[in-house]
Amino acid sequence: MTISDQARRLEANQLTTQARIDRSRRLRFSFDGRVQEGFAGDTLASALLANGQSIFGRSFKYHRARGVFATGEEEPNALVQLVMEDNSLAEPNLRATQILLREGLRAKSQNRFPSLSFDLGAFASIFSPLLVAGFYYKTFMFPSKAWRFYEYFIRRAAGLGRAPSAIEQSSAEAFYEWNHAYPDVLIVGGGLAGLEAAEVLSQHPLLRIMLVEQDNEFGGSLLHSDGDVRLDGLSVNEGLAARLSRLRSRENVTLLAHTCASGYYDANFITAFEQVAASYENKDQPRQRFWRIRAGHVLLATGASERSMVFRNNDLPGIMLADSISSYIRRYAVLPGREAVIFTNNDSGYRSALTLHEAGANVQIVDWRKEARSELIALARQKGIEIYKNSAVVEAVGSSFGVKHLACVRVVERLADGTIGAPPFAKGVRSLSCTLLGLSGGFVPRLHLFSQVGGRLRFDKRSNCSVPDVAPDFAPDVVTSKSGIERKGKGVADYRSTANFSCSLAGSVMGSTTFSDAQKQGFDAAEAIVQNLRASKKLSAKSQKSQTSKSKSNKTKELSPCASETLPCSFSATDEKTKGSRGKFAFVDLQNDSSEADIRLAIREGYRSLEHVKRYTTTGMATDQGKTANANAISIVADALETSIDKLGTTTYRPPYSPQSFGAFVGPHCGKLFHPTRQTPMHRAHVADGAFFEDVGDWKKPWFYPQNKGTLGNKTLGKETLSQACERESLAVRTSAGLLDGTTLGKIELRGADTLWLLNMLYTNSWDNLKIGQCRYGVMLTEAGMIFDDGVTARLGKDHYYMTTTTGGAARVLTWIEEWLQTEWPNRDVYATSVTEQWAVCVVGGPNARALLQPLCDGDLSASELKFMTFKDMKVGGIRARVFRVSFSGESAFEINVASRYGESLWRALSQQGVSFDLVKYGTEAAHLLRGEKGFIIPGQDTDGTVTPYDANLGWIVDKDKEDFFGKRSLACSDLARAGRKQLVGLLTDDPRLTLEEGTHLLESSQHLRFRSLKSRRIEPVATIGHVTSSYYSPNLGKSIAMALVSDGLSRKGDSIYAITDRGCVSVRVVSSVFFDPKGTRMRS
Amino acid sequence: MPTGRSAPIARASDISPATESSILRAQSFLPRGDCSHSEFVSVFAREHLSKIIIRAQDKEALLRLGKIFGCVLPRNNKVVLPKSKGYEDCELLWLGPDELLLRSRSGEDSRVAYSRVELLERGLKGLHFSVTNVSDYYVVARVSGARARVILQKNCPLDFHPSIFRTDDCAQSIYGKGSVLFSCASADSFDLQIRISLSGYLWSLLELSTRSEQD
Repeated sequence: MTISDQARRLEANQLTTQARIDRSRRLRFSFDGRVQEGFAGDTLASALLANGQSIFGRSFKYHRARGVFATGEEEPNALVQLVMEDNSLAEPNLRATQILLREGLRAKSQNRFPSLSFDLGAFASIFSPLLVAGFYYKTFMFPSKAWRFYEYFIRRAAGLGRAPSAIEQSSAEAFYEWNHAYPDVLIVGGGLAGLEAAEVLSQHPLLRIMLVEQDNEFGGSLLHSDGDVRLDGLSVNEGLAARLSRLRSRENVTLLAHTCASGYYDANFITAFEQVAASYENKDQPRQRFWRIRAGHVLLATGASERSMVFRNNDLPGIMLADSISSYIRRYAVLPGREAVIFTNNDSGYRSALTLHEAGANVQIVDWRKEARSELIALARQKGIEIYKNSAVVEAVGSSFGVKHLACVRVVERLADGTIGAPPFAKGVRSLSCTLLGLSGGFVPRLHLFSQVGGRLRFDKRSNCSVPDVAPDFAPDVVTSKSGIERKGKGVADYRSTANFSCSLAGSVMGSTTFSDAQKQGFDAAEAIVQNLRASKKLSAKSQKSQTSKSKSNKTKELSPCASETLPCSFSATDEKTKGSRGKFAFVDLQNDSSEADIRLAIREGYRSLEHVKRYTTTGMATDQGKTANANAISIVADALETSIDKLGTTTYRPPYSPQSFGAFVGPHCGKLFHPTRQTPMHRAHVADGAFFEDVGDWKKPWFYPQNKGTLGNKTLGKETLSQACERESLAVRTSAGLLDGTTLGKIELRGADTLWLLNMLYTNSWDNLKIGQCRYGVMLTEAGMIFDDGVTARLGKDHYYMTTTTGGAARVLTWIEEWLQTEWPNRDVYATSVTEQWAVCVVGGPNARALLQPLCDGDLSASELKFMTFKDMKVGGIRARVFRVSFSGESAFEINVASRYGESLWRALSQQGVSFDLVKYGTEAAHLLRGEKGFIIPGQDTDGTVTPYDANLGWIVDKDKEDFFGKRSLACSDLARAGRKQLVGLLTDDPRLTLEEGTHLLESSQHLRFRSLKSRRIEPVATIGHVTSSYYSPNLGKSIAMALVSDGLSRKGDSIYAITDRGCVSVRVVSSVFFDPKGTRMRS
Repeated sequence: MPTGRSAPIARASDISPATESSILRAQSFLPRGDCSHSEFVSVFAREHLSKIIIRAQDKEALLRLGKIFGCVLPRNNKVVLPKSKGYEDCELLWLGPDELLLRSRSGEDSRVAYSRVELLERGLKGLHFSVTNVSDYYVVARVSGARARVILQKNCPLDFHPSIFRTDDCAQSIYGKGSVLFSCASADSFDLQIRISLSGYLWSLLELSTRSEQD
């Protein structure tokens, strides 16, 4: 398009009339790479219309050119993708009608190739006979194997925008926030009814009021009302500004514009999405804010959407909803077309016609009604607007050249029986040439939220749509009627089902058609809420009487409308070519390209339920959820089934009301904030040492510390692998000394006279003779007798114990103790307090551990003074510490506990001290290998909730003489004592270098299974006799070792069994699970 | 035994509490000391507060505690200030029907908490109770300023409206996904107590949540 071309169009579409755009602020934006200008206050749609853009997108199936159809969230056609400055993708599938124009905005159209005006996909319409209802499902069937062929083309041809990649998202530095709110009254919808209610309610300073409006401005249809409408005695703009500034000045009011209440759930819980960032380039504002609102009462003033009409080619660019035309003219000063026709069944269409006339367009009206008299109609006549009464538009015709755009409409007059008959039409067809067609099929209340929460709907014949099922009569004293409905004044319904939600409705959602009616409903609804609050004593009876905001002086000059007349389900005629399939290219759902013919075909193919027809034809699906389609779709289904609409019901309304970004749902919980990670006080030191971390529960534990492997000639050999590091670390612990961060072990302090009794209940062994200063290992069982945790407990004082648990079991054990104390033994004198993170723990183990540590300690660490399984309080490096002689590695080891704040200092001091002892820091991998050599179990790895202490070869720890302990009774069950139970044993492979995979299945014999024959022979299933639970290559022993649960394993020591490996089935020997230092002399030394 | 290398061997006296590392800094909880974001909100760590969890429910024990602290013990999500000598700079927070938290209101030497524990143990001797030093278990962040409540409201489902969460109220909930003990020190300043291991998480989340409240 040349510049002069553009200028001409600009002139053609832009008006100079008063509007809500700010002409002093010009904004540059680009669409499909072309830079254009708009004004502050414009939406992307209005700015593009003003610049002469008539095609906004290509349709889903047939790739037909589509223009903008509406002004708000109901827009089915104008879906665009936003892009960032560097052309990386931002959000897809946004409605151009809802995108507020901003400087530098970049958008591109979707579902077209190579461009909007020339789209290769448009050839799809040649195949339109194949793309009928359910064609997608049909491609699975004919023939069944062809789907793989079709799929490639179907996936490419149909589609919406593209989601940005994770890289694109993170480079954009976009962030989203959450927020919570607890208003006493939440008002959804900032039109006149909502504003009036807010005005009244906010006069009670103790009430917290929240008003949300999905548009970027408050005012609803006031924003495009006729020039002579007055608000509070002022012009609409001034009146709105005054009201909003008054509301903003009140501290108890929260006003949220550009915020879509998307879901209404039980107990008055509402979710809403607020558009925050004015531009994507603003890094200090979240793109969106996700609100979770728990309201005392909800007032739904959600308004109504205009209904479309179904006739052939009703999707041509240039056809839009009549009220949207008024909105573009009055709010954005854009004239969408100079030659206009309005097709209506109600007086609202006349308002649009008058608005068009005033803006300088040539208008003609096609009115479905036979008898209609009102001031509005008279006014239209007086202005010289041609009116075709008792008529209908049956077809729209596109321009003959280039991309189709509306060129004329065909109009026929109704027959005596009220129908339009069949072609050739009896009364002849009149062609009206036009570039703009406005449709006004009446208004459908927006009942999505009301229905989501469980509000019941009723089909109203008079208005030909679903309305809230509320009692018709005013009954002020009725609290809850049988149907759970309460009426609190004319036009205001207070709806309570079993007290699960409390909401009322006001405004055009309740059918009001004039501003004065809406305002009165808003006032009445607010009054009813106040009275309810007074009655339930939530609001003082003395609180002031509500005043309608100057509404006494608020006589808006409005022309009273004449009633609308019910429309037929469609104005399409039987298509001769398609033999009886009526409604070809008479679109019901513009977004999904589903036509009347598709719905009728679905019915002929046997679909009866509305929900099934919806899914088969995709009518009412996708991003707009059929906001302009559903009412017509239901009428057509009813017509095809020859039943009444009220018997069909509606499809289910589900949240969200309109599509929302995943980013907002996720909120701040992504990237490094995706999930909290717990770090020990020594974490910084581990990072400095180049540790790799392992996730253990939420903890980040050092896994291994890879070192540089040095150089070979000029070549550096890089870092150690996991197994290399593990080998080095574990060898060092056995030969000199190792340092381990043991902070993450769960720690619980137990106090009280009954603590000893509790320990005897929790653990299987006896604790009676544990002296102060001593420690003991114990195993905890569930009531079923299965191992669920283990650890060492120390006696700190007379009735004071210090219990350690596994890292992952810390919370579970504390909960377990608390549950028993609170529910079964509330009178027992025990308190359990978690102290896990109070203490940082450094574990020094190995033959040189004592020599290394002694100089730092002010206490004697000798084996005679600090015996194995005892502890002492002393100072280590000047820090108050508690040193335990316990060992998980099998070496002589010291677990040094200091207050967390000293953890890093101690760690660094020990590292420094260890230099002369070749002290090596070791991670969880080496720690697990070391304990594996010793045959120490890890609950959860070597046990799985089916392992008793006897199964784990820990029979020695069960004190059967104790009066009771958890699991004691279960251990006596026959099933736990039967032969054939899986028992924990060690395994050695014949080839010492072959390390079994953990989880490997074990077999009795190898003869059933030969992998060579996999392809040639059928393999019979083979019973497994167990599996490998832990497996390592032990550098200390020079061979691989494994622990396994094997059926009757303890009595099979010395036997050979078989394991499945990637080398095939190999023989392994069953041995004791203690591979190293079976007498434990090293750890006691 | 020491291997041949000669490296200085530290003695017990070489490391003293004076050189103790601040765990908060080690955790990057507080990257640059006090962190005043703007006039609307500031977030800073209150380091080294002494914290002692007291468990007791028997009448006698509660009476004794009341005497020890010289005040009526807090009930139902309340914070009270003890009046007795030695506890003037402390606050008592209600954590549950049988659980209180004694927390100092300024940073203290780690030994102070131990001596308080001993004092309390002596005072409650013979009764059913538990006193546990958890000073290093938790860290406390102070969020204050006109937007403090807004920032807390973002990631916590408690109602932070001034008429609901008032001065000297405390409650346990979550901030983001971390468990937090909230207490309201004054109309626009709150203390968030969180496990030390989660301090990095809390700090990052607070940083993000304050980003949009700078003007």
